[in-house]
Amino acid sequence: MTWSLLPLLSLPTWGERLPELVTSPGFVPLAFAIAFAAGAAHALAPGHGKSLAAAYLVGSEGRVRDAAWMAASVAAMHTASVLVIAVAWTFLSLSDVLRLDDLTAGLRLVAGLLVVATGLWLLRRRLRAAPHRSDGHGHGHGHGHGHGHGHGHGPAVQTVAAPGAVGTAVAGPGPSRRPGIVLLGISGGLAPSPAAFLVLVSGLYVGRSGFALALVVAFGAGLALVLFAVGLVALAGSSWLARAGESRRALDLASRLAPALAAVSLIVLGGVISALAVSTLLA
Amino acid sequence: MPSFVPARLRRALGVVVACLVALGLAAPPASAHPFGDPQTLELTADSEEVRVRWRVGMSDDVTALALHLGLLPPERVMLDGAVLHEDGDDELLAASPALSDYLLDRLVVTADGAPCPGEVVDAGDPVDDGVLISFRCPGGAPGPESVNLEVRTLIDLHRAYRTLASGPYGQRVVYDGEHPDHTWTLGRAPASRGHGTPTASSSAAVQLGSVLVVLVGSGAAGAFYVRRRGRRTEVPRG
Repeated sequence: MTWSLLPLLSLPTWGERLPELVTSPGFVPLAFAIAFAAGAAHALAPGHGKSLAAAYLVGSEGRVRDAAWMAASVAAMHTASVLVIAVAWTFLSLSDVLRLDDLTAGLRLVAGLLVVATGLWLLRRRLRAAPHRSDGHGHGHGHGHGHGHGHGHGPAVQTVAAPGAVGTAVAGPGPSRRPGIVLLGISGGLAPSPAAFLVLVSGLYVGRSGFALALVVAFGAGLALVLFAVGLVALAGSSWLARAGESRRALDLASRLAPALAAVSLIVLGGVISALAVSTLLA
Repeated sequence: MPSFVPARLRRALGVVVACLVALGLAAPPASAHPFGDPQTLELTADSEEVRVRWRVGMSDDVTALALHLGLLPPERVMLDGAVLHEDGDDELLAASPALSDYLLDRLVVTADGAPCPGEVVDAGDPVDDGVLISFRCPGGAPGPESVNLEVRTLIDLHRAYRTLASGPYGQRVVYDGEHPDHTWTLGRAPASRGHGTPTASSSAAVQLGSVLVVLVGSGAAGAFYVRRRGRRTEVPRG
């Protein structure tokens, strides 16, 4: 009898081939290329909060660097998650204590709560900043991101932005966007990919754990690249759509409501994710 | 400030669009990627018998196997090919002779080339407790020094299935469609210790630690380079 099986087994071909690379590595550079492609393909599938990330990046007036932070956070968290779970499953008999299905549901619950927390944080930031933006024309002063260094808590510094440029000006009020970005990144990477988990567990079983972990890292790099591209598309799309807009009045109204809408979207979606996870745990 | 207004409005519209996209497209993380325990197998032996405890893996795999064995109607397969586990599937599969026949057909033990007849001892819970199968090899006590175990379970459903197997002396192996056979040492500790022994754990720790050190070192070097480059860029601006 032949028929298509579970979604797990309907993974893209790259994902299916991934575990084989550990037991039959073949040409090693090609193995890393396949792992990278599998990560990219995995990122294109639903999940990992791509839409949430896009909303947050645009809603918080993010920059290219923020998109990179977001992607790196997801990849780092995913690698850490796979590593911890695979080692615990192999050497500490994790499955005797907790089935991985339940663990995944628990991780989803945490991920959902993190999204809610990020939305609340963003909303609070917007509400605090609202009085400073109510004059209808803004002030164009930021907090010192225009110099290319990593921290974001410096004094207000005038930044010069070319009209239409993406990611060059930081006119957003309040503190750095980075805590929210990292929180969303952690949320997106908490639940491990089945293929990446199987790669590392297989590596632990056959004594090639270092090679397997390197493949998982390559998988994460592919994942990060796609998420970074999604962030860039979101930022570029916001710029393009605004240039295409003609009704300044409607846009001005949107400018007042949209940041709060972004925050509320995060809260709602995080709540939905959490509720689904709870229903799975209780089932 | 005419140059600022367009940028501000541009961002605002972008947020609106992004919110709509988020509400329309967002899915719970990993909802399309079921993640659970893989198929596992434990092999133990004494002078009289070789015992294999097989666990199917996820609950969804129970349903998939029950469908495969014709115990569930084809209507349980959704249009996208997915199947969902329902209450009662585990019991249905466990109680069916088809499961025993399937396992005895796809788990084959031989000692010195001679087959070891198998018998399903306990099939009560394929997911948590697993199915226990006893194989008695010809020759009697003290039993064979080694046995060959062939594992082809679930790979007839899909080639991506693998079986993570463990045995005496910390031996571990991964079965898949390309590697369905493995010889297990029973009599005394194998010269090459298994991957579950303390030695193997140390080896894994060294390997994983090495990769992590390289990763952290590369990240630190990259961060140092970026910061230094940023400082150099700032200097001319005074």
